[in-house]
Amino acid sequence: MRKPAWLAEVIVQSIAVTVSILLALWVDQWKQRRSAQNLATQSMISFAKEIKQNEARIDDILPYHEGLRSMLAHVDSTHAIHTQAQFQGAVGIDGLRPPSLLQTAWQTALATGALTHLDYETVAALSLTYTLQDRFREDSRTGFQAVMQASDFKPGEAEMAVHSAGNYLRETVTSENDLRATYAQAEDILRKKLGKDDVPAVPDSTTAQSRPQPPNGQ
Amino acid sequence: MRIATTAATRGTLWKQVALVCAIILCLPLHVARSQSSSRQAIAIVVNPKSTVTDISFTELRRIFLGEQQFWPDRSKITLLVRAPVAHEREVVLDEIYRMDEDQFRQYWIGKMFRAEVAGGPKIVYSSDMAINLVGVIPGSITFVLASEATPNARVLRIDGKLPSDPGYPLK
Repeated sequence: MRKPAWLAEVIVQSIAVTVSILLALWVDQWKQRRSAQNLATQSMISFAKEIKQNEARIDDILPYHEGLRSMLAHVDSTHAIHTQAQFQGAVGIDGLRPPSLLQTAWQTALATGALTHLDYETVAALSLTYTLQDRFREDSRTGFQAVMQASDFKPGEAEMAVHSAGNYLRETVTSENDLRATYAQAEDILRKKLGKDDVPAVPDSTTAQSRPQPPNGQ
Repeated sequence: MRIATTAATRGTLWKQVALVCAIILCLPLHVARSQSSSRQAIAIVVNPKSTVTDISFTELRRIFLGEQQFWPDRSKITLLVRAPVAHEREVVLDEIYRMDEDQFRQYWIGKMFRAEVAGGPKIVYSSDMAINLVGVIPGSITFVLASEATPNARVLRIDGKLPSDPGYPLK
């Protein structure tokens, strides 16, 4: 017994419609996946750029803070400071300020949900980096305020201010070194995820291209 | 009574005349002193371990403007600048930056905003602080009054000239 022609047509059309729907769904899913992948890549590029900038800011201030610390140690040992004016002239206050570090990429990633498209290892590394950065900022703020208060001393009571500034700088320099090491780790992870070519160059002369290399290939 | 009053007025008048004369006589001396302090040369000082001894004025400007951030031996340059109000800072702003305080501030904010530099110049509050810091920070450069440069600070020649030489550009 032969099937009616209309039945075959219905079957063919049903299959065609189902396939079309499935294809449309697949294309939509592919587009979403692709868009999420682009967002993740874009986000990782922003992270890499921001971490590089923050690292450059630490590299920029670190020698100055180390110099101040060494100068303060000398001043402390020689008891050369007695008045507020001498303290200001020898150490200053503004120079003790920590560097301002960026966290725009982290905030943007949180706001756009980009972090949900990154793998666990990357998110964990970035979270640790920005947590340490936040802690550094908080510790520096507290320490700086303590130095400010201590610097308002009466003549003859300079020792406390010098000690306070010395302690603050010692902790700041240590934290800056730690933060720098953390940035290096985060950069490594991002470089692996992105591939070398995708890691952006920060357009200042503190980037890897122009960073001084040890002489004689050491 | 009248004679006594006139004598007292004359005495006051003479005192005033004497005061005016004293001011007139002292004025040239004061002007000369202030001119000599404003004409005092500014020495450019670098870390004693630096290999640089001579620098061109153009290169000096590039360093102070943050356009050159590394020495020829590829060590990082740390620029130390006196806090506002210091005479040395005024000279450097006039002669090297060719900017006033506001322009100077805007200039560095702009450079940081464009990420052309990682940070602005580092502040020092006295010549002693400048010299002490330049001695301990490798690759650092600063400026002090030439008379305040100590033997343990290396003074750079600018276009082959020391601060004591005629034609030195930072006077």
